[in-house]
Amino acid sequence: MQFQSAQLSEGVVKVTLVGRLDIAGSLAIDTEINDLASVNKNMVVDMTGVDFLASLGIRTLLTCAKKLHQRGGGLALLGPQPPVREVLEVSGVLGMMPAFASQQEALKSLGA
Amino acid sequence: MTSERRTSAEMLSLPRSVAALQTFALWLDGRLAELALPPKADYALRLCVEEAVMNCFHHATCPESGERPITVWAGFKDGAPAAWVEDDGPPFDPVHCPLPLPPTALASADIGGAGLRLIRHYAKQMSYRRVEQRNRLELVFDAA
Repeated sequence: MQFQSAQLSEGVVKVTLVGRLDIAGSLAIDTEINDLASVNKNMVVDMTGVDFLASLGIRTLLTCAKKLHQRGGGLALLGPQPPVREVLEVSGVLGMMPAFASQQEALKSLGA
Repeated sequence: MTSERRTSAEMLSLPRSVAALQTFALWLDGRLAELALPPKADYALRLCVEEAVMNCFHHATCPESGERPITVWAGFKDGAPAAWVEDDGPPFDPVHCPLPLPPTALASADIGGAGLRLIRHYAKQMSYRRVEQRNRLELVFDAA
């Protein structure tokens, strides 16, 4: 799992993930992405390059979303592939971590 | 020039630890490479076995039986991709137990239950047996 982050503006960070967000992938990024969620208000997670998602990965993202929500912000997903989107839909978490096709839409949903 | 192919055992026994999760992830990678399933079947088997093993890690410790390893198998059953996961937790039938409601609010959201929801969605068949104080969940997947 590859992990990159970019500060888009004050309190708004973009995280780009590439690879499988499975057990190994989730363990690999958990600390780093949670640290970013602890010091920002809004987060866009680019899922375009994620080709597998399991519930441990959802748990990692949801933990970040909760942290951001507690400070009045949120987390938006960008471009999940159909198989990954299906896992998000079945898990019932898209209402709390909405997914968008473009970064502009994602930022707009966050009010950022 | 010779090519080297890694092989993994069809079955894996693992203790409950973070290190064991890494071992399991590597084993599952190797096993799926050997099975060479079509993409949808590969995705479904990987997802369901991960979810079943994670559920065991969260719930499987039975004071009466002691802490025995979680055992995982993946292969073919009657020509279809299949897997089973066995643990020594308290009796738990994931085939017939009610699903928790999906989370509705972020503040109170708990991902618990999502694994079972995913298994029921992606597995073609599920069966549960209690054998010698151990739970065995068997899963069969569409071959395509």
